[in-house]
Amino acid sequence: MAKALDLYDKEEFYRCLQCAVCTGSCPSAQVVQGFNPREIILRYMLYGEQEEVLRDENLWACTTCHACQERCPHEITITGLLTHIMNLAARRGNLPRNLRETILLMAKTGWSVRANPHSDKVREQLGLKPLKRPNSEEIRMILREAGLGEIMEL
Amino acid sequence: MKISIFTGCVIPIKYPGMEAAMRFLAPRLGIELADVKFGCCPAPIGLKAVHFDAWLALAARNLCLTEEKGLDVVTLCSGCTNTLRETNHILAQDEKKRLFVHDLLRRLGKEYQGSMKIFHLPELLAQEEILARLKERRVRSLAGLKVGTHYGCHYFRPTASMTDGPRDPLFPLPDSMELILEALGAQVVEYNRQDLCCGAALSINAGKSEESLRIALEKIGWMNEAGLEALAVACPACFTQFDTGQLLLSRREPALRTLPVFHIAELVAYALGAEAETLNLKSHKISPTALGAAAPTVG
Repeated sequence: MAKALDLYDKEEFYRCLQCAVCTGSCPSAQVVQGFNPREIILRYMLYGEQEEVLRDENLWACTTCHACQERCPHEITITGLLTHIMNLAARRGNLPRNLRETILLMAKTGWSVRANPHSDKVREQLGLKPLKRPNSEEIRMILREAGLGEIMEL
Repeated sequence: MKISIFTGCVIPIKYPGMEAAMRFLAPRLGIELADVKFGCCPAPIGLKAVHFDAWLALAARNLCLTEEKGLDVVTLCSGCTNTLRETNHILAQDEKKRLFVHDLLRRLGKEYQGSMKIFHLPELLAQEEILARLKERRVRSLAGLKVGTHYGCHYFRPTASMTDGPRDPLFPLPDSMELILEALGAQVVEYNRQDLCCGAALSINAGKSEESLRIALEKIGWMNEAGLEALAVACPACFTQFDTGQLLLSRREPALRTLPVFHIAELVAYALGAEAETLNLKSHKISPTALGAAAPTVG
């Protein structure tokens, strides 16, 4: 379950000074009430409010722009932590509908965008070759083997 | 130079004009494109946030496909660039992840070695030799056009894996698009908070379209203040955010001064002689009239 955190050094999160450079740099914190990277570190790592944080739908406001991480004076991999938290939240069913549908579409077709007759027509008009379908069976197999089945039925 | 083209999913389906631009410019700049049946990259704002290992394994599969052909790969999207390059970086650094991915791909008869280079289109074109060819072969100049750039966060962050050498964290932007635009004769204009995220992921992932547009609006405000007449992007998600975003914003705020948005491939192809129809510029929501001012270069 904690696989995603393998990449990141847990200890570093305890170096957080709560200085809020991360929040000041965060595009989403500017516009989404209740989303604040500094507070997520405080609650998740220091207060141990993991269950509450994992249930918070606002987690998904992170655009993964990495501005927080780049600017952190202690070089804490904040986006790495947020990615880890989103991964765990998804396993508990906290996953926005849009995102779930996009991933299911990708598992089905190999692409995250739905191919449609209009785009085929425009491609033809522009002299582009028809779309080459990826091997979606192979893609589904990889998704299953990697464990995505824990989150959604493939 | 022969190289695999990684179009991603959004461009060939939603913005085929950008793909047409790429296929127009490549042969004119001495680049031969090889088509490979890649799947979704998958997106750093999508699957990576939901299931890291599945994201990594699927990206490694794409890398195997180009490696099997012995070719480097060029993308048209900052997100695709990020996924492929980060994956290459992680698999080189992290043994546990590497073993996991090797084991999984071996069962499909694939072997990942990591020998390929991953280019984003602007950095491929910003190489000295190709820039020189671009200057020599362009038939239109963008002289007089004030253009700014928006790179897309995933093209340059995290800097540890996405860039060579250190970069100022307070101004981390690359300069590849600036080099290209200057070669096209355009006047490059900087603007405030240029490295601010476009905000697209807020609506794509979390369905927070209102909040997402507010970020775009802030950026448009700074662009206007700096006097931009056009914006160059390197990512279809950022393109939607600014192109469709400005249309939505201007419906609410009719006084909003809008500016046309271009994928850098479109501007290069246009300068190399592609017509607006070839590039399907009519599909832009914000009418790309700025290009009308671009005068043909003599000779």
